[in-house]
Amino acid sequence: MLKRLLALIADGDRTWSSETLARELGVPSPLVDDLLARLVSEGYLSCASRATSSACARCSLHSPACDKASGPAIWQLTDKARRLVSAATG
Amino acid sequence: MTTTTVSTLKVALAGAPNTGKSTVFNALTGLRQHTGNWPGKTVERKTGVHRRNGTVFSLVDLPGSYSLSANSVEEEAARDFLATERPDVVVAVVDASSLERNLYLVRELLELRLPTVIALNMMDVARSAGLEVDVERLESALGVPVVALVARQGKGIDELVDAIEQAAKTGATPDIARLPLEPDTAMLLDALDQAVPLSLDLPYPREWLLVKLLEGDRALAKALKTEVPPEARPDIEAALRHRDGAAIEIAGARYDWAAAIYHQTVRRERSESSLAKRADHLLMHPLGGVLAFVAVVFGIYWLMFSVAAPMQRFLDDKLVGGSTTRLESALAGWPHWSTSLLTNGIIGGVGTVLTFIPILALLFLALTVLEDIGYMARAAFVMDRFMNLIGLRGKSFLPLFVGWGCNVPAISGSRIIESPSARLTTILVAPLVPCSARMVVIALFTAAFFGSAAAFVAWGMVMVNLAVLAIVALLISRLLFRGHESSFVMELPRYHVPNLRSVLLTTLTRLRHFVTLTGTVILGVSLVVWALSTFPGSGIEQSFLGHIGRGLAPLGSLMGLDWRAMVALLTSFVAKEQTIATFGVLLGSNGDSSLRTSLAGIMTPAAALSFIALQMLFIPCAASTVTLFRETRSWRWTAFAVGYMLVVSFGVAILIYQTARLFGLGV
Repeated sequence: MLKRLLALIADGDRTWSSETLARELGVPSPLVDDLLARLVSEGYLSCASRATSSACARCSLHSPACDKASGPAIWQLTDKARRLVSAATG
Repeated sequence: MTTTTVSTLKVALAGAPNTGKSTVFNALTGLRQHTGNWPGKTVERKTGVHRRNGTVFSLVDLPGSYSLSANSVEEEAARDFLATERPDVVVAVVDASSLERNLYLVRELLELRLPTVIALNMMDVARSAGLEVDVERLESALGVPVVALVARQGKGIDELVDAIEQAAKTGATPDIARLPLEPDTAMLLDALDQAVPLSLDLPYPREWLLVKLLEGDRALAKALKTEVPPEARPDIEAALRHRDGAAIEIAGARYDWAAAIYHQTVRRERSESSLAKRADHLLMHPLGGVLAFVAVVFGIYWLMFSVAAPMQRFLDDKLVGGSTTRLESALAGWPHWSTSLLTNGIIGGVGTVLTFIPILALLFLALTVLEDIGYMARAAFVMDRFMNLIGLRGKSFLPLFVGWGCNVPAISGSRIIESPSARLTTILVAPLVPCSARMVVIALFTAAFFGSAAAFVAWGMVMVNLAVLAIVALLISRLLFRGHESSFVMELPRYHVPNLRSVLLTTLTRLRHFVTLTGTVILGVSLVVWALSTFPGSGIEQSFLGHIGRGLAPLGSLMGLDWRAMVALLTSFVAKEQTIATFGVLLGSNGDSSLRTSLAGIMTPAAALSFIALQMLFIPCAASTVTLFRETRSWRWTAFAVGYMLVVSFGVAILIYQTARLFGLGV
C-alpha cells in the first residue's frame, strides 16, 4: 500500500489531500494520514513548507505581513522516494 | 498450546494515544497505581494491580505508540518491554471508531507471538459515527480474543479480565501468517536468517528480530552487533546492505493486512454527515470551491468598505485634515518651507498612509481568521487545481499563495520547485500576486471614486489582476515549461473555532510591521518627494519633480493620468504604499486636506480604474526586484520580469481607461 501511495504521489500533475488519496486507495483518510507519517519517518516524504520557511528566514524584510507560518503543510517526494519509484517502474 | 498455573499475571496494556488506554488501566487498577520512569528514559511508567478471585493481575501501562518501530522513546520503551520482559498477556487497547489506524500496532503486537487480548474500546463512539464493528468476525480474523468495551462507563471491564485470565491460562500465542513480501525482500529475509547464528542469546523472537533488522531498526542492529561473533558479521552486513525499500514494503504489507481486516469487519451504517463534511463538500468542489473562494474575497472587500472605510475617512478628515489646519495656524509666522515640510511632507505623506490602519486591520483580521478556522488551506487546494489549468502545476502554488501577504517570500519560496523552468515561471509571475500593500492603494482609489460600489470595483480589479496573472503564466509556461513536476500532498487542517488571542496577536504583529515601514522607509521617501516638489521654489509646477513629471505626462495622458499620478506610481517602486504618501505630499500642497477629494480633482473614474490596474501590475517593488535577481542570479531574467510587467501594466491600464471612457466613466 505504501509503494502504491508513493507511486500515486509521484505520478500525475495534481495536488493530493488525505481525502483524495484515501478515495483513490479505497481506505479511510485517517489511515492515509498514518501512511504519510510513515513515509515521512522513513525519509520518503519531506515537508516542502520548510523550504519556504527557510526562504523567509533569509528575507531581509523580516516581514510578518506574509505570515509564513500560516501556509498549509505540504509533503513532497524525496530523492530516496523517486529512486524507489523509478526502480519499481523499471 | 500450553497450560500454565496462574496466581500472579504480568499484563501489559499497549495501544496508540487517545484509544482510552489510560481509562482501561484506571478502571482495572483503581487507586492501586504506581508512577515512575522507564529505565534510562524520561517516559512515564505506570504500574498497578488488579485482584480477582485470588489472582493478582500486575498491570503495566505501556507508553502510547502507533507502532513498535522505535521511532520515538515511547515506542522504544513499549517495544523493549514487550520483547524482552515477555508479559503473560498483552492487552491491545484499540479505538473501535478508528480501527483502521489501530490495526497496524495490533499486527506488530501479534508478530511478537505473545498471548494477546484485544480491548475494543469506544464502541459507543463508533456507533454514533455510524460504524458497526463485527466483533466475532474481527476475533476470527485476528485469531485472538476480542472484547468490546466502553471503558469510561466501565462496560466490558469484567469481560476483559475474564479474557485476560483465560488467555494466560491457555498461553495460546497468535497464529499469524507471515507477511506476504515481494520475492527480493523474502530472499533478503532468508539470507538474514542464514546469516544470524541460531545460537544467538537475544531475548527477542527470532523472526520478529529478523524483520525488524530488515526494517532498519538501529537499536536492535546495535544490540545484535555486540552479540554476533565477528565471522558472522560480514554476511549480516551484506544482507542488510541491500535492504533499501524493504522497510516500506514490510510496513506496506502490514497496512494492506490492516486494510483487509478493516474491510472485512467494519460496516458503515450511514455516511458521516458532519458540518465539516458538508462544508468540505462545497469548499473543495472543483467549481463550487472556486466560486466560494471568489465570494470570500468579495466578502472581505465588502467588510473593508462597509466597516473600515468610514473609519479611514474619519481619520483622514479629523486627524490629517484637522491637524494640518491647526498646524498651519499655529505656525503662521514660520517660513513657508518649514510649515510645508510638516503639513505636506510629514502629515500629508506618513499621516495619510497611517489613516489606512483600520482597513488593513480588517484585512489582516479577516485573513487570519480564515487561516485559523482552516479555510485558507482548502482555498489553496481548490485554487491549485485551477492553477493546473493555467500551466502552473504542482508546487508553484505554495509560493504564490504566500504572495498574498508579500511578494518577497513568494519569489524566494519558489526554490522548493526542482524543475528550473517551472521555478523560473513561478518567480516571474510571483510579483503579479496582489499583495497586501497594493490592497491599501485599491482601498483608497475605489473608496474615493466609486462610493457604495467600491467593494464591487475592488473585487473586480483583483479578479482582473488574477486573470492577467493566469494569462501571463499560461504564456510563459507554454514557452518555458518542459520539465515534469511530481505532484504533492497538502495537509488540510480540521475546521475549528478561531483562537481570539492568537488571531489578535497575529493581526497586531502585521499592523506593527506596517507602522514601522511607514515610520521609516515611507517617511524618508516622502521627505525626498517633498523636497523635490518644493525646491527650487516658484510652485510645484516649477519644482525638480515638476520637471521630471512633465516628461512622463505624455504617457500618462493615454490613461487619463497627470504627471503627479505618474510620479506617485514611480515612487511605488520603493514600496507600494508609497503611492499614497506621494499623493499626500503632492496634493496636500494645494491646500485641500482630504486626499480623496483632491484625487477626484485630478482624475476621472476611468483614470482611477486605469491607475488601480497600473498599480497592481506595475513593476515589482525594490525588495521584490532584488529578491528576483537573487533567486534567478540573472540580470537578464530580472530585466525580463520588470520589462514584461511594465508592458503589461501600461497595456492593461490603457485598455481599461479607453474601455471605461466608452462606458461614460471618462468625465
